[in-house]
Amino acid sequence: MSEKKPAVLVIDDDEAIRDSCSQVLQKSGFAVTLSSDGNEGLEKTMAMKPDLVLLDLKMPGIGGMEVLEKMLQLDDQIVVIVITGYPTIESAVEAIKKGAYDFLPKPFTGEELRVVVRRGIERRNLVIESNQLRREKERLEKNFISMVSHQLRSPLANVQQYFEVILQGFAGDMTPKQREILEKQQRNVTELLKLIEDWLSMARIDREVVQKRLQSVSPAELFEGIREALEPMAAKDNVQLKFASLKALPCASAVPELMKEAFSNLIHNAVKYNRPGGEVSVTGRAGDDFVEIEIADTGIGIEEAALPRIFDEFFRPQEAPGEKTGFGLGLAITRKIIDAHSGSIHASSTPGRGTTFTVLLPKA
Amino acid sequence: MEKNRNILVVDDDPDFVDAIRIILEGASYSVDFAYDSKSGYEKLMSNTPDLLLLDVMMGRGAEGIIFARKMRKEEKLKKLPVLMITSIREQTGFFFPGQVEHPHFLPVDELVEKPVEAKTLLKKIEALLVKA
Repeated sequence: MSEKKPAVLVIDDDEAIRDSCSQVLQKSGFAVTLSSDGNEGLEKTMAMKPDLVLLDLKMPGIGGMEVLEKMLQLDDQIVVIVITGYPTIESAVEAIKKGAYDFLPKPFTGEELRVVVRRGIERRNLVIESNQLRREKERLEKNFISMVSHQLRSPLANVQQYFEVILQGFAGDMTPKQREILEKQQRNVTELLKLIEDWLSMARIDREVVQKRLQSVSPAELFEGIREALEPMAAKDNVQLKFASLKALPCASAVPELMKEAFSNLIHNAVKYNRPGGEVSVTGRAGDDFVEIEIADTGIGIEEAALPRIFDEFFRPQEAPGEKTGFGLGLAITRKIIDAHSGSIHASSTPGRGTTFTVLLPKA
Repeated sequence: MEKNRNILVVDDDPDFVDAIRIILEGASYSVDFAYDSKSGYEKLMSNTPDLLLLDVMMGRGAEGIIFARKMRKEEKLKKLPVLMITSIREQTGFFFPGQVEHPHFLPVDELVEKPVEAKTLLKKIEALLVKA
């Protein structure tokens, strides 16, 4: 902060306070502007956009509290320190509740003033910096998503397309060994594409978009679709899918495709981390405002220590028996989808015996 | 089945065009191609094919969509079957696979996603040509 002096605005009807503040702060390297009443102070706030405001609470005309509120409406990053004429803790507390950063009881020494103002400026810089970082992060995320969409996915799609050309015999015959190798590579690329897809859908699930697209979704219909899609995989792993009748359940307020994705992920996991001969049961209940869906498996379970982290991106609790694990995005996507619906998801588990996921969704 | 029908592929990705061309020629279609929308449009007008395979994301954005809209205003291209190829859904009004968010938004007949299985591609093309 060596180039630009932090700007401090002092609003106080007491000339002696204004002058002494001005002297002390200018000596300490601040650019100081003075104002003797609330309305003028607000005008100066608009005009000069100070970093920090020292505001007297007890002034004739427009009172300090009102100035404070209006000031924060003008600039929600501004740091306001209130000066309380009487060290009444009540008014200071009220001001801080309204958004003031700190208070300074009169009378105060020059040193006290400097300490409080310096701390306030540090705060201001932190707030600005973190907002800038947040904006930068959002910008990067957005750009990265379109970058991923195009630059990363296209060449992989081409590789995949050429594999398809060769494997379907469009480029001539090949030996069984060559075919075997190509098929392995095709699987690798498929996995990589899946990762990019997952990652993209992760970034794409947006609460606002979801809230705009909500419709009535019948759990019975939803799970019928999921069952059809996942039955073959479950049969292959010798895991039984048991769906209770969900016909009596009321509709949930949801985006059908997203719900399908969220629950498919859960049931897919329940099958993948199961044991041969095990089962996955899906049951439902209606609450007052929510529809509750429970997915219980008889699988390997999740260690207690890992349980709080299973919804984190790229977290993988343990290897599924005999299979390569995924990238650890499935549950993260599921939770993000459910959160965007204003629902909730909870997991409980007994290692060696199974895991149960409970999902609450708002009723339609 | 009637073969040697003409298909025009408009896509700015030469590798993808090449792979698709091999598949289509393998299935006895005559294939012409263009790597940008301008020359694609010229070919479409001068030597109208039986079917158009059109990429969504070309040039600086979703040029394929503008392309499709523009050609639907030409009398002789109004009924031409268009199969649109896309590798990105979220930027083009598509939310999830197979679901067109704004059906009126895209004046095309069918969609396939990159990469596409040869079987799927050929089946869709055949269906569109039969219908046409």
